[in-house]
Amino acid sequence: MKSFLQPIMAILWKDLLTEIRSKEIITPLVGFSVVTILIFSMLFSGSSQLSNKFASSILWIGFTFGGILGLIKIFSSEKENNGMAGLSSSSANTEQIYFGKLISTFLFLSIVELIMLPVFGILFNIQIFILELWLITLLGTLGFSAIGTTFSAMTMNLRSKDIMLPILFLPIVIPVIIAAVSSSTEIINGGSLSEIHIWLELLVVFDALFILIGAWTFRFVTEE
Amino acid sequence: MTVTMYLIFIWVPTDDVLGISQRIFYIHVPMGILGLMAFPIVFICSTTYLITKKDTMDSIAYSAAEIGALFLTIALITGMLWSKPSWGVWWTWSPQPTLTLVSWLVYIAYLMLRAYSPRGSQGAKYAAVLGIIGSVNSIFVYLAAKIWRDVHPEAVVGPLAENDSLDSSMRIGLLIALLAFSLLFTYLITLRFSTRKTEQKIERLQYEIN
Repeated sequence: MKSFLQPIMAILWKDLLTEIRSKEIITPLVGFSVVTILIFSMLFSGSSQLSNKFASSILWIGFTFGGILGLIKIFSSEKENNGMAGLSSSSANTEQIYFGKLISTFLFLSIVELIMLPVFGILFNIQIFILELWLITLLGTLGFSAIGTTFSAMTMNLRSKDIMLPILFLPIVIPVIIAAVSSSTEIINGGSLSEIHIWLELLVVFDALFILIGAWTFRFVTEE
Repeated sequence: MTVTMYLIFIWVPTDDVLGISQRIFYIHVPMGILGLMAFPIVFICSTTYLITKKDTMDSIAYSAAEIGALFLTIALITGMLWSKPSWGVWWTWSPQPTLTLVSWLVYIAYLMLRAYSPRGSQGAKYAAVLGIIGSVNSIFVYLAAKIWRDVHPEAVVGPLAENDSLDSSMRIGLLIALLAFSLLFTYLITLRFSTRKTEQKIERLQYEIN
């Protein structure tokens, strides 16, 4: 078990160090996502009923668009520096590379959300310190990262990759967005865990299944 | 096909409530069902391709995705044409249209991926991965949309159907239309498959000459 985890942790550590030094992912992502929800908040201002209904949709629009920019970055930096060749020639096998990349993607996106949720709470006057809301957000982000890591690695070798990633990725991530938005809206409007358990189940099954598929298919998208 | 057209436009009775527009149902439903039926084909062939690396499997998956995209395009258009007179709107986000539209987007993504990826086995592998993920995803899209909202009519034929929701001659009409379009579906996939095989042969020959 330890020998399986070691390369994963090494990849995670490498990505974290690179990010701390280059600041290429988290900072621009937070900026972009905050600007997106600011614009929507501005457009919906003055209609508090409306904004309560659409608040979580706007939050997830911010996450999704910001997240896509992050996904493009995750593997394009590897491509630029020929990092994939390095990773493949290291002792890590493809599953370990997948899990390492998945965890770092998940971590980066979660940090972005950690910063965005308070901004969101202030702008839309919403109580964000609800455990369920954070749980949904984390489960949604995990599903997002599970598919995103595969597609990010795949589009790295395509022509016009920046356009192809959203085209391939968005239709697949729709169930996650629907589940996250519907359940967050329930929670924001005072719903309880029992009302959203079906969404949570859907998210958990989705995450588990796509992590498995991602781990299995990753070798096919990375081998030359 | 001629018999089906005769049945659709002449033989089946006109619906009491929906009127003549209901006849589009005999094209819309089979197109939708068959368009979605391409997913299991894509899924099975893509998985087999990744395991065995046989080009034949990849070609079948590619052909099924193309014909699936074509059938779903027709299902979406006929659906909108039928929705306007019967529900008063062009589009509703109930489970079936949502699933159809998202699946259509996945097929389009699949075809675009093939066009934009490197030639040869690399592109085929990418497409196979997308095919697997897209097929599994369609189940989640349907579930999510189902929990989300539901106004579309329930299944009228098949195991989930309620009894007597369709007139018996309408049911026969639908089943015959389904059969005819299934034959067309299979024929088109076989046609695309054989074209693709010829294309591959030409490519190989060109490669050998150069």
